Amino acid sequence: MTWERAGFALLAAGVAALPVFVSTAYALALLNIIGLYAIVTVGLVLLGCSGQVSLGQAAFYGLGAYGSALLSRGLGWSPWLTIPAATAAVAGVAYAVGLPALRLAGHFFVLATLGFGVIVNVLMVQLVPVTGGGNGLRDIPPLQIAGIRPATERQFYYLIWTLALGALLLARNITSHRTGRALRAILGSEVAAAALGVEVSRYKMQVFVASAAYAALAGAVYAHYIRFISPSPFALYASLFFLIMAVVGGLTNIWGGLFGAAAVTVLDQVIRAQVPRVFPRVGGEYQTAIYGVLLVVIMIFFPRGLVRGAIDLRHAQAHPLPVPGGTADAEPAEEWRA
Amino acid sequence: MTAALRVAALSRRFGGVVAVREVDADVAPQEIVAVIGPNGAGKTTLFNLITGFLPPTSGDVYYQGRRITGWSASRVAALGVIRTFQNLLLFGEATVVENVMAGCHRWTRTGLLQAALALPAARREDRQVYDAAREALALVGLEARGQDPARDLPFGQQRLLEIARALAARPAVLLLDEPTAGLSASEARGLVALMRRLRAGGVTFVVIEHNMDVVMDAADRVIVLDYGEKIAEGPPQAVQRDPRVIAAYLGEEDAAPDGTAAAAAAPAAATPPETRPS
Repeated sequence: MTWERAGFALLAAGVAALPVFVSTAYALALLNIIGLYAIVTVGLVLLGCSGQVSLGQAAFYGLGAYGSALLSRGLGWSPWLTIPAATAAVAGVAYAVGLPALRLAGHFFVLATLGFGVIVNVLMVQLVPVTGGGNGLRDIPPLQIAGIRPATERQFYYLIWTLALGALLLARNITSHRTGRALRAILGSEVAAAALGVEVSRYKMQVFVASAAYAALAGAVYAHYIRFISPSPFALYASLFFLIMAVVGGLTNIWGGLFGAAAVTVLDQVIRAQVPRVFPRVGGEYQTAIYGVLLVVIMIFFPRGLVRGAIDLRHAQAHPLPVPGGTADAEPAEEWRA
Repeated sequence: MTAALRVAALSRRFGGVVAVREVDADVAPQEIVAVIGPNGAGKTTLFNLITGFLPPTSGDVYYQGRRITGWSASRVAALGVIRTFQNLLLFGEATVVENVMAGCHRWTRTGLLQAALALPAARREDRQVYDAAREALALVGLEARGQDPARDLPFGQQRLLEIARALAARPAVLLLDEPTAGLSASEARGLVALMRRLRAGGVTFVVIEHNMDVVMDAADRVIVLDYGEKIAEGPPQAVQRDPRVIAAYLGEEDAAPDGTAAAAAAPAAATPPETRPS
């Protein structure tokens, strides 16, 4: 669609020009984190397009980070090699996880991914000789970009957002064409899709592996960007966080993934800064509560995401809906006349 | 000639209940076979067994002489054995034309990688699929509704849409589960005419049908199921007079061997009142 292509060009131009206007280290760092989260979220939306939900994305994100960090530290490989290597390895892990997990229907698949996420996080904490346990891994080799090592914040910005826009474009293409039609068929009815010859389990596996690769890529870049990793950012809480981003954007809306990642990351910063001012004594748990409520409210009132929800709302105000089932009621009468 | 479809001693048990019992049947290429029987006779279960949605407890299914017992539903569909569902399974969120485009999966080839890179072949295929979907919609008279959400269509048109989606798959054998339920009398006649045309083009039909006017009009041969067993088979007029069929529809004791009047009444009684022209 041409408007979509124009939108993408506009977005790319905006992303390219943004550092001219934004130059504080804080803002650039925030944009970099948004870019990384956007990659994870777009992967999650890709998965959502097949009607699946994962609560294990933080584990794939973490495996990408630990994988690339350990490879580059242990073997002395360049991060430019270990980032794709770790991504590919995590895709393999996702395939192995998917073999049993994708046999489960609906909610049980979600629980399986949640269990996987918990196991991975426990391993990060307990496998002290490999992962450094709770203390994490320090001195992760930095990336070298254009002869500068470690790469600057701004260089990372361009790297991360090139990857994010590429991820967005790939996901958009996957959800178009024949694969997109097959995914929407699976989302609509797995039974009907199979009756048309769509290999349901193969497509579900493909997008599951792709979503894990997205998360792993973001995690691997994160490791060489922050250069210190520990288990806590890859815990269940982070998986929930990614899922909220995807839900805010609309679980089957690729562009919404980008919006959701940006909106929730900014909201998170605001909450972290403002809530302790208003309630000086609250502990860290309030964030979980806020996100829990947010998730429930969106699922109830905007099941298609905030952007689509707002469009639907305006549309509904402009054109009041016909009574649901009204046409169906009229049908038998017509039949009698025939 | 090799049968387009053949089932041999096909059975399916659900716990203690035998839904389909030792059914033998074959369907010749370009034949239109109707499957009739009272509610719960095992007609839809038979469809599920043929199309791979249920594994049989025993017995075999053959497509053009090839044993396909135990194949997955998508593999059976990939062969060209396409079915519709009694309780419509449309993609309600999608538009009418998108529903039909999904039907083209079987004969298109673009994979994940080609789609991800939006290769020219993938985009060429999109146009082909769109044109094929428009053609299929025109066959059932829905070409004007292409851009409407599928769920906005009245029930009868949703059924026609599901048939158009199945046609978009370019089926060799089409299994229709109560295709005229919810259709007006004129829509049902249109569907019968369409089936005849498609049959001339090479399509084989197996149709579960309650509307006896449609069965008499369209079917070359009728298979009657009762309590999972095949109790009769033959040309529609012969089956209509078969005492076992009358007994199945009216109850055991009413089967009068000489009762031609009862025979004529029996299938009519089985016709749902809403599909009878008033």
